[in-house]
Amino acid sequence: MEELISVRNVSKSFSSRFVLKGINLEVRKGEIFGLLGLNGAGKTTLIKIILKFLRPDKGMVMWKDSLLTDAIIRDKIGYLPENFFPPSQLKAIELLEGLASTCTSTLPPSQLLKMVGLEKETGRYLGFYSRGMMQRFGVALCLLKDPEVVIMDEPTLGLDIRGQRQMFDLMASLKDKGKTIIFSSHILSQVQTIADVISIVNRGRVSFGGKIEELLNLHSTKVFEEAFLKEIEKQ
Amino acid sequence: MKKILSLSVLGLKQVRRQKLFVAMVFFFILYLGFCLFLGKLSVAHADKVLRDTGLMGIEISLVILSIFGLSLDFARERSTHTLDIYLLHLGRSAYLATKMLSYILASCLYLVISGLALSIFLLLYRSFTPAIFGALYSLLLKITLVIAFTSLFAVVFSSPLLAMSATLFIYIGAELLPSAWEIMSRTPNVYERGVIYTIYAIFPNFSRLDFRYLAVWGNFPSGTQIVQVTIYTLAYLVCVYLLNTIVLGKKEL
Amino acid sequence: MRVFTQYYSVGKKRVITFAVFGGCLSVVIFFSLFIFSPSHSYTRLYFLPNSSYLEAITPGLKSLLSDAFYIQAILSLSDRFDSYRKKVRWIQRIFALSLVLDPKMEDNYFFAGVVVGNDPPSLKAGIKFLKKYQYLNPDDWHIPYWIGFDYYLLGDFLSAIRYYQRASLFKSAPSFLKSIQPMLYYKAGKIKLGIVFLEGLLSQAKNKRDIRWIRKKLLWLKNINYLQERKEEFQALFGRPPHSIEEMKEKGIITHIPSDPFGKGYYLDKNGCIKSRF
Repeated sequence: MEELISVRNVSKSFSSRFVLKGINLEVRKGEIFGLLGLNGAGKTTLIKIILKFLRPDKGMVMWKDSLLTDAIIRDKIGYLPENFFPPSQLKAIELLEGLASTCTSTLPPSQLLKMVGLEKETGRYLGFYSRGMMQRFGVALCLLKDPEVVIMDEPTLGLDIRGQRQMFDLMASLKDKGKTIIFSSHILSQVQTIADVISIVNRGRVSFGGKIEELLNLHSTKVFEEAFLKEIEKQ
Repeated sequence: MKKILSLSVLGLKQVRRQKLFVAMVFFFILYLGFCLFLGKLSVAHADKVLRDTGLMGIEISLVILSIFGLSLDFARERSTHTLDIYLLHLGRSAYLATKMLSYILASCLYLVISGLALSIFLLLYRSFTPAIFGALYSLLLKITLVIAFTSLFAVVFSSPLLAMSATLFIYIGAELLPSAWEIMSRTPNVYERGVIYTIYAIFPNFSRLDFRYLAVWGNFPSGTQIVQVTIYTLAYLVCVYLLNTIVLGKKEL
Repeated sequence: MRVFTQYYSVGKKRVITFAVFGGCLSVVIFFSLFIFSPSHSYTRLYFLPNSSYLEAITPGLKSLLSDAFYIQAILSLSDRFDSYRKKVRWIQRIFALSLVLDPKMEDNYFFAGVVVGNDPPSLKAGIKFLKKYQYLNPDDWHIPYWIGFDYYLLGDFLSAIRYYQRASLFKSAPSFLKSIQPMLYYKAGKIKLGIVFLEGLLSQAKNKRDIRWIRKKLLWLKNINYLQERKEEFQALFGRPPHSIEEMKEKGIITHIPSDPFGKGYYLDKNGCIKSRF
């Protein structure tokens, strides 16, 4: 499969405290890539470096064979931030239509809202949306420019069990549509069902990268949580 | 350009629906009552006092709306990660332009509403003069610079409180600058004079942008004055905007 | 190569940004310094509310309002007006308002009564202001002193002396109000009156330091008076005033030139009057 995003030897520190050290990983086209790790491992920092919100101290992020630029990010990458709250004074359809004018190619906003199950809430102010609805709206925003890659930082944060299920079903349907998804999560049970490839970030380094089966074999266990904890405690 | 304009209109909708905007409109209407009281105190000068205090009320409320509204907006977008979404779609310089333009449009809207309210009020008390529209135009230019500074400090400082304070100080400093110049330009110390000269050259010259005193006496500004202040405001706006884009470009979010 | 191209276009964009920034900043500075010159000529409102209205409505805020008007007046001191008369009138009105709201703000007297005095008419306006509002602080020695000072600047030394004497009678008045009067008598040409004043002071003085300076100034004035009388004697004798004090000694009118207790010496000015270099 074609390599879309590759992170090459990226390091980042804040006030002489290392957050990421020599991170290398590749995301291939059409796969669901899970970025796992404990709190403070550096997952969000890595995502922000990929999106060029942060500058790495060392290393680079490549898109196919060239440097990942702002223009590529604007056209090809959609992003759902952690703990996203849309502006409460706007209606869903207004924000989507407004942002649609910035995209070179875009899916119709009404279609997007239907895709995420919000077709009946188009005229409602975003301030009145529930947490689950906000997250789904965030996914709709991600998909506005019909991106090749969708990055989601903790997409199930704050969602109830049904909301989590809906989110993962959405991710599976996006994969069926040919999208590449990068997401970070704590809910290992559901990551196991959906992720094709995972990378475990531990103390600023990628301690494991590959399929979940490989991790289970490595630690001689059939329980993903156990294998994850053993991997974390390995270093 | 089209995307900046369409998102600015979206931003205008957002600002218009904010509680602060509505609060300022109500505040101004109540303030007109205070103006009436002042008018009663000002024997033989009531019409001028009504115009002066009315225009000052519009300015104060606009300054509050711009400084507090924009700083809190920035902070809210940062904390709710809406900023990330906008930057992903727009890029940093376009985002800044959108933000500033939305507040400028909101200021225009506020000026229309408050200008209308003031005009009706002055008409009722036989103090109306079309010259107040000249003052409203100059107020728009002044607020444009206030918005530019607010967005600069909102980007520079992570704390909205610091951003608001810094902008307020710039505003007050710019208002008092001519008086400070008059006093300090008489100092024999060459270095002190140099410092005040430099500050005078770089600080926004709000007193020259203000046509309120002309409007109070029922005089329109001349065409040359309008062109001069417009050019000055646009040049200053571009300077602050570019500075802002440089700062935001270097900032890690 | 692609990476290089990307960095090159970023560099070009930066150059353009800085060029535009520099251009706009130049426009701003040019306008600030040359088009918007510091001398603004906007017309003023020239209105102040009546103090009795303000007193009636703001019993708790009088002091704050007084401060606000005081600041406004101070800032107006540096403003340019159509004429200096207008400026003095306007500033005095604001200071008067501040004073009426808070009579303890003595600096209002100083600025409105003394600082604005730039020429004789404004000095007279200052004197008028001080006299008008003296009733608010009848026990303050500063006010008659400042009136006296204004008269001194006007060259009306006798009036200055009168007000300095009034000021010196206040309990808290400093001693310089008395010690400065001999100089005023000298400037007014009333040496004998000055001597009488100092002799009266000497008879009442108890403090050794006071006695010292009174005696010194008394000697100084007496020397001037002595030389003045000898000069008149010379004139009566020779039908003309002396060319210098030394000529009076040569002609034997005086046996010696008295030494100036302040060390600067005496001389005859071109009008034939005895002057001190002190």
